[in-house]
Amino acid sequence: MKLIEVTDLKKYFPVRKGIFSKSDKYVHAVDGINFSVEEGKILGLAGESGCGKTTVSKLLVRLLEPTNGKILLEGEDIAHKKGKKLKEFRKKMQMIFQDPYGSLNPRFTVMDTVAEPLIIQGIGTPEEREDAVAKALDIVGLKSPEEFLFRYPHELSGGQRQRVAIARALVIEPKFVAADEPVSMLDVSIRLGVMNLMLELRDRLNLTIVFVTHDLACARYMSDEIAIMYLGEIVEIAPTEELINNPKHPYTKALLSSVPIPDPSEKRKRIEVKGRVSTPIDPPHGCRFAPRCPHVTAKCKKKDPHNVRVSDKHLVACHSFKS
Amino acid sequence: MSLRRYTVMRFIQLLVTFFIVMTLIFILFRLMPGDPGVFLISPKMSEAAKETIREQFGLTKSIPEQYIFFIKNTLKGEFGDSFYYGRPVKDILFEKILNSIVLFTFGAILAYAIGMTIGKIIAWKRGSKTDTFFTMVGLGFWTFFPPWLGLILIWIFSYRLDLFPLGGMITPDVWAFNPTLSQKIIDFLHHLALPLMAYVLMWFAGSMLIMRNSMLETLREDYILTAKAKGLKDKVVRDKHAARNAMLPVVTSFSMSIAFSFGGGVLIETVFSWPGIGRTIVDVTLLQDYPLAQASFMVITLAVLIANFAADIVYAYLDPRVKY
Amino acid sequence: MKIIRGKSKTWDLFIKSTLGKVGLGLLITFAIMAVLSPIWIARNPQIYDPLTGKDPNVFGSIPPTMAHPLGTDQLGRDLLSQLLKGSQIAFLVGISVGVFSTSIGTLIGLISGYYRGKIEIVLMRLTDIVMTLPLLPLLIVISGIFGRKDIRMIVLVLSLAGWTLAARVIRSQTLTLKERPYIESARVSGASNMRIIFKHIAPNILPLTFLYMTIGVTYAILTEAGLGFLGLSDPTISSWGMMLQWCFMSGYTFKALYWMIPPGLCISALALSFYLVGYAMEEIVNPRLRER
Ligand SMILES: Nc1ncnc2c1ncn2[C@@H]1O[C@H](COP(=O)(O)OP(=O)(O)OP(=O)(O)O)[C@@H](O)[C@H]1O
Ligand SMILES: [Mg+2]
Repeated sequence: MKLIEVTDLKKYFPVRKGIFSKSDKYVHAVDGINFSVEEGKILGLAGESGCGKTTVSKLLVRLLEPTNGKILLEGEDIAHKKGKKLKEFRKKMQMIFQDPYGSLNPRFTVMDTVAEPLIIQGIGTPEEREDAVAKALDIVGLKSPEEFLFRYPHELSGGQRQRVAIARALVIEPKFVAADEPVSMLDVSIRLGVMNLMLELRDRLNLTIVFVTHDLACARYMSDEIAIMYLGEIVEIAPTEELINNPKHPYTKALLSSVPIPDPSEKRKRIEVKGRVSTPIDPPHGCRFAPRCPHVTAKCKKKDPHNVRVSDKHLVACHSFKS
Repeated sequence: MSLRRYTVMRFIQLLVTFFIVMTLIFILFRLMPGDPGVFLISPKMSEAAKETIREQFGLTKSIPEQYIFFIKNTLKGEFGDSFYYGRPVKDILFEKILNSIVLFTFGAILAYAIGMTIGKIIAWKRGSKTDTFFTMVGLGFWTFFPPWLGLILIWIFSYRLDLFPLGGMITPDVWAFNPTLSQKIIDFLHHLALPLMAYVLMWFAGSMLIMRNSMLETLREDYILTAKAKGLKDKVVRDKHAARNAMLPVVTSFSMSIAFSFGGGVLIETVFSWPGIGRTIVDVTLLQDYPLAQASFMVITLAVLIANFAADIVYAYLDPRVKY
Repeated sequence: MKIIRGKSKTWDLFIKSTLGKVGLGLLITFAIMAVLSPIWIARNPQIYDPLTGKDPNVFGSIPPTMAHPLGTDQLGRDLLSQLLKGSQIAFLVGISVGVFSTSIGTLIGLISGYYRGKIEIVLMRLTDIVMTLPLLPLLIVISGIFGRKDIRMIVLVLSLAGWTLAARVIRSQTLTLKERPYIESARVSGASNMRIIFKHIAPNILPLTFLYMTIGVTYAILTEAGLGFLGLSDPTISSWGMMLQWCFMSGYTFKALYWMIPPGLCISALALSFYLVGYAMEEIVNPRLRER
């Protein structure tokens, strides 16, 4: 069953000039993307800095309202839900943030932080909540929760903080979690631990996860399927091994060539491709990757490429590929 | 936004503020207990004079109409006749505001010049004895009760040392017998010295402490380190490079403290019997001379608004990054 | 527990600062004076009441004696008694204005910083306007209009006018705090705006609020004393400003330093003590100042 399905999702941000003057220019941070994730699966979303990964995660959990498109969660469109109805859906989805130093309120104890979703949603009595918090902490590997319950974030290590953030996300038993580069700010030595934890939780709780990363090795380690983003668009999406072994898009190929060792504990490798990424402010027609593409043709600069089916689950958006 | 557009916007804001203050005053005076119009009509006036005032200010008309009369009269500078002096208010005020502006301007310039100079020196010598000393002294003066400061100055310099007059702005005896210009000036400065000193002492610490902090932040910037590394003389780095940039917060604080300093000015003028607008507003309030009190307040407000406006424009001129 | 533990670090740093210690020391001294006031008066209210008391053996103002350690005023009222009472009044006025005005400022700062948009523009223009009002002249005019001078009205006007600085600073702090990931994290869980403002942002600006409260207290003490000195404060209470006014008006200013010095010294020192506490706080709250 498709737990989450996104069609033609767009988010445009107005480019601000001053307080009074809104300009008519827009950043096309996310520009018409489609994908779906089966229940209990992990989709890796990879791409360079500024390609719109964070914006996608925030759209999925409705921290942002999309400019266009649908977000179906268990078949119901949440793209423009508001108020009470949205709050009801918030029980089903959670987000894990990149920065474990910023995502915990410095004046909240671990107990306060983890219990907050339950309090907001009015779930359980104080005692039941305390049990739920202890259980969640236990699940994320903070053994002997009593020891952590009344600590403040500054008394925790980075890895412990991220575990607390995960516990907070899981305490209301969501169906879906958007994880925005959850390990990129952690020490290499503890990344694997946190990633293994997420995999284990997925199995135990049947979670569906969109795992955002700029590191293909991490994406490969975590995901059942990988989507490659470039300037607000998904240029290629395929099951993990298929994408790694049989990439079709020149951008994916370029990325893979710079990531020879798919071992996440290895020194972190940022995706790098020659040339610089521009900001997608009112981009012209044509393929976004054309200016940096080694196989660029005249057509690439005029016409937007459409998704072409390579195989059942493998889609690529490139003019040079013919099925 | 260009400086010109900013100036225009800021000027509109000044007008709006003044309008709001006028409205506030209109409402407050109409809340006054007693007959309608007590604030313009003195019981001592002749019937004819009362009638003229009623006519001029539309006092027999409805409140909204009175409001329109009030705005028109204010913009024309017509505030009625002073109960106490029996003369039109505007004639009296002009002279008073001038006396205040002299004191305020000299005071502001001296206080800021002294404050900023000391501020930049102690920032440069941060942590030294000089720094600690001036910071302490500055904090002390900053919270000094202004009239008490005035009284102490008078006690020391006039009463004990007999160096300066006890108060006032001129010595009538000197001015009565055809003095020369230089005699006039000397007499005036002689009277100005003590209130000016009070103003400066009350006010310099603010600019000094802000200058110190802002200078400390500037000194950590890269371009200062570069300048030092290039082997420029300390004094050049301090005065040419750092101080100029550190000045901006001081200008902001000046603009924000104007209104407050006018309050201190009222107290100092009272202690030194300086015939300015601040002392006037106190005297006429105690004398229940409402037309003059009302007009004094509006003149003070207008002066504060203009000073503020000027400070903001200077700031925008100095700091090209200013965003409105 | 949360507050105490969150603050203890601040407190440790605070108590290390010399200026903070001096300020706190002075503050405690004045608090003791305020507490002693009723005890001193209770010895014999007929003589020692700061307003209605009168020593039958005294004519005119006298310098310190055993019975009147600070002397008396021209009506034979005990100056020490007035001074102790004045401490109570100053604390009352200062702290009520500090609390009221800072609460208003915090609320306006939080709301304009959090909601942005039109609300922000309106509130910030309002702040600009109130900030340019010359407060002491306004209070003078108001006291003239209403004739009856009432300390409660003075506190009200001071509170309604004194919130601007806090509002500005707290607004800009709110602007940065609301972008923190933990705010978004709360929002993902469905937290309402009210919850985010009061549970997440407000506690984090508490130190700043406290800092601006000390500044507000300083300004309230000085302004009320100024009114008192001009003879425009509440005549039914004996504040330090009034003491100085009585001294000034009765012509004893330079003849009776025992009368002129204490009230002015107390006003300045109490204002200073609050300001010092704030100054020491700022070095702690504002990390940019501390690092150096
Ligand atoms: N609130 C916003 N207002 C305006 N532009 C925005 C906003 N948020 C993001 N953008 C722009 O949208 C684009 C995508 O940003 P996003 O943060 O989603 O990228 P990202 O892939 O997460 O990058 P990174 O790897 O650096 O986290 C960028 O060009 C960014 O400047
Ligand atoms: Mg991101």
